[in-house]
Amino acid sequence: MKEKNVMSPNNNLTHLSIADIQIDLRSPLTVREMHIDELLEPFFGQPERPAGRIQLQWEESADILRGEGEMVYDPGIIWRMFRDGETWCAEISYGDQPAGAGNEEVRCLLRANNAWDTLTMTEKRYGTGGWHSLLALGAGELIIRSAMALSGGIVLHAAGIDDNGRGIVFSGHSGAGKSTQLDFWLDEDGVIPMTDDRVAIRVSGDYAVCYGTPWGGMPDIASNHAAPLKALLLLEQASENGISLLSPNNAATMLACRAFLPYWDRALLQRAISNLDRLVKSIPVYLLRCRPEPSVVELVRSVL
Amino acid sequence: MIRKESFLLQTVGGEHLLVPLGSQVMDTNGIITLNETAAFIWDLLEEERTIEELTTAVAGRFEVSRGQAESDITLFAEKLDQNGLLQ
Repeated sequence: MKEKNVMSPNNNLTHLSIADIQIDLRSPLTVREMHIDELLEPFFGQPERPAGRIQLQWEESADILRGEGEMVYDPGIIWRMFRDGETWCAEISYGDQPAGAGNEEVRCLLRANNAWDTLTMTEKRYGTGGWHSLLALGAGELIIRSAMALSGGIVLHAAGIDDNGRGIVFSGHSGAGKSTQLDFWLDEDGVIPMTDDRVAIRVSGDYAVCYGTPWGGMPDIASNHAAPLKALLLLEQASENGISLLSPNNAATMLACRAFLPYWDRALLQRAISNLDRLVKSIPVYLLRCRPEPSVVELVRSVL
Repeated sequence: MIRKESFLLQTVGGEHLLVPLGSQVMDTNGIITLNETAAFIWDLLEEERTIEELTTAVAGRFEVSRGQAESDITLFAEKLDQNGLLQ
């Protein structure tokens, strides 16, 4: 899958494929020098049928980085979104906390046009060994979150597996039992884990595909794999096991709270929520109340 | 009264969701669900409206007495105000 062409001595071209979004990354550094190969290597290459294509220019800066324009969205300590004329500018403060960088020091600016298909990433490197490009972390996730909204999809806080050709997504907040579910399913024949924390889903008509993404708590589980989505399961810990089909309107609110929505841009948010609407109308969503025990696998399979 | 512009009302799976936008996200306790009547009123509040205007519109659209509509709208307007959804 790995493909890399050298355009010029100072500009390497690397193709990335995440959820069928093609990213053409141009950088004076190699992927090894950017330290993105550890997390993104399974995602190097080009999709057979791209659902979107992004041009991304990476550049290095030794200057102090600051978000440009008016601050429009501040979800917490990690990143903030700014609007500068026709350009979006995400200011990302930390990712993997390299030696020498304070948590609050801005490490990366990600500038995007309205279509989120032409981007520049300006990043500050620290030291020689501990630095990793945020492209493999929060910056890359922001790019895909936007690209999914624009290509009929959404990113959910969820784990995903391929159970013998059937995509199953377990959604829940931190601590809801996503990783526990994965552990049970990994012991089953024909199960391919896709991700333990971030699932990308794209809807097309009454059909949806779920994809593994590079971002999660267990990087070795993140795989560049896709499966037709058969069911979405909303996890809830309980003293007794039970599974019940939710109506689209009941599923809507619960899924909206578990989706990574682009709150910074009305038009993009509208697209993402429309995609969510099509998702709950085309794919069954179940509420799975369960104890942490392997028999849940059979319970889930009984409704597929 | 008039609504804040920093929300997006969209229907998902038949449910009317009021989703905060941008900096409003941090000031709002998550995504808000509205029933049919509340969503209708929210749409009307794109422009400055009085309780009387809203009452006339709601009583004309839904099967409800004018008195009941006015009482419900007043209560709803208070909730909107308390939750920072009005300008």
